[in-house]
Amino acid sequence: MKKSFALPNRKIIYFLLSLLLLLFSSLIALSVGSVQIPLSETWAVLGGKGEAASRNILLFLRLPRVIEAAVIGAGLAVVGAFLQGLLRNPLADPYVLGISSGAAFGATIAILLGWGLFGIGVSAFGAALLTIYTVYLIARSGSRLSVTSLLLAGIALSTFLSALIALLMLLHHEQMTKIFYWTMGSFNLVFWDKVLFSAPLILLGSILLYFFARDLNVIMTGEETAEHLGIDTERVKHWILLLASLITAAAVSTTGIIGFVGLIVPHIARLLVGPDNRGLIPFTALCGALFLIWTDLLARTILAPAEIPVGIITSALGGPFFVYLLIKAKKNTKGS
Amino acid sequence: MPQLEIKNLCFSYGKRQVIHQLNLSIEQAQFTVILGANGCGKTTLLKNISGYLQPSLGQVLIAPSPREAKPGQNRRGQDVQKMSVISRARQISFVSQDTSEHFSFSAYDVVMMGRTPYLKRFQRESPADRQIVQNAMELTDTWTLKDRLITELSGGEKQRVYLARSLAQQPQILLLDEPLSHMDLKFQMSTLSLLKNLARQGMLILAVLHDINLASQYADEIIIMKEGSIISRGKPQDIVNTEHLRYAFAVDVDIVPNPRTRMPIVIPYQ
Repeated sequence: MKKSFALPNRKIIYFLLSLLLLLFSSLIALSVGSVQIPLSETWAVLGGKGEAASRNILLFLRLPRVIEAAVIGAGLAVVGAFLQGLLRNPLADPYVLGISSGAAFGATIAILLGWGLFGIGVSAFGAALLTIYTVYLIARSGSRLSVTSLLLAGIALSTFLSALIALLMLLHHEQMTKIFYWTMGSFNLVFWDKVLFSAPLILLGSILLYFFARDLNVIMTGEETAEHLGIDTERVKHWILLLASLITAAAVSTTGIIGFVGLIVPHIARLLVGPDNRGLIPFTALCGALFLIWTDLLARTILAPAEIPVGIITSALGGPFFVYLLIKAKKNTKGS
Repeated sequence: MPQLEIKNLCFSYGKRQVIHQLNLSIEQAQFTVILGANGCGKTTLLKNISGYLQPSLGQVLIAPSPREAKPGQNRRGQDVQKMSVISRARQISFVSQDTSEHFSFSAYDVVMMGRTPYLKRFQRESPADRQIVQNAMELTDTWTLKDRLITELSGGEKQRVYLARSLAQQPQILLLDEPLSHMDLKFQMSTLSLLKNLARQGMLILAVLHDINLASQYADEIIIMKEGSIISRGKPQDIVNTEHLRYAFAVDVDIVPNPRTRMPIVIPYQ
């Protein structure tokens, strides 16, 4: 009995703390930038008052940006948590499986064709789905799916698509900077239109994914075990891959590739609240939102007045983290 | 209708046929042990019975459970391949020999997963579920491990937790694939006693074991397999003999009776 009361309490404290931190961080992210706005003024603008100049900056430049950072951070982290659970591998995230590169490839084509926001989104989603199912078919042997071949096929296809994107960039000099900025991931060009397009999709996808939280718990103890415990693993897998593609495509088509969010955040969140996805998924979402708000703030202040793509920062953090996980995994196998 | 009926079962991995036209019928709940050399198809047979693997030919039929059967329904066996994953999980549970764990759930959470086939998507575990889990953990002597992380348990402790999870499923049929392989002698014996008791209470138990001596002491019946077929079946004292073991394992051994129980004991020699 002791356990069932003590554990939720600790989780609730983490949850409330991160929620408070998220509100506080959003206020800071709104106030800091090339034009500094005092916190009191930010507060006033959000309350419907404030000066016209700061209103313009806050409501039309920074607010959509901060919201999009929070939503994409949450979405990518949730996708990462689900993929790691599904593949029982802490190294999995949308990039490893090729979903992001697929979406990026689809979006590159759409950009070169001169399509608008909606076209880019649809093309990214289509290509992401096509990629993940190609990976899926390659990895599928007989009637069952091998996780190892899924990871390897994902990496292979992802590399192939990145090469194609690089080739397209070289062939279209005039669009190069645009595509380049976008393959590195940036919130630079995020305005309300992009937020209104992608945020509902990402939130809806994440909520639908949450329906599979308990199924994922069981799948995390092994697919065969899950099947023997009454989980239709093949069906659940299809849903998770579909929704993961939707969320990733919506994110990538608005801001480009922001790497490693789905790798780092769920891992840290799991250390804090444990592996039970019913609590972990909402907490991961909050942490992901926090993570991207802060990295984006760093991206636009570190070399101010210039701005660097946020993807550079997340990759700079994610690369070493990936290596750390590798070394840790190696130690664990030696130990046992 | 027998509790379990296997008709003309064939199974292949790709082109390699592992089970050849196997027939087996178990009338009543009892504790049956399957013996056989490595690679003779024991695990494959269990996974065909559980419905996880789909036979290339033949059928596995199980008696409808009194809990699930509707009144007036004729009591013919159900083909496990035609049952939903959930209703299979309510009637058959499977203890796998795989003890690798990647995520640090508590032992209690792992056993609670045995209740999955009874819970709706967002339904929380009821006090009844908690009671069932506690009973299963006490039977397997794992209640003291409930707050420990599954990743930090020893192989033998994990195997007892997995058995508890399978019991929490409240199955009619319990399949176990080398459930004792990491346990010390004390827990091997207490686990076998538990299985025997559960069989007395009406659970059909089918276990793959390697220890012929322990199997002979506890099993109601022993099945010996070789190359995907059953070569012998019967009470331990009737079928554990030098000829069968030579044929199944290609070894020469002596068999002596246990001084207390008269059950066969295998004595290897050079």
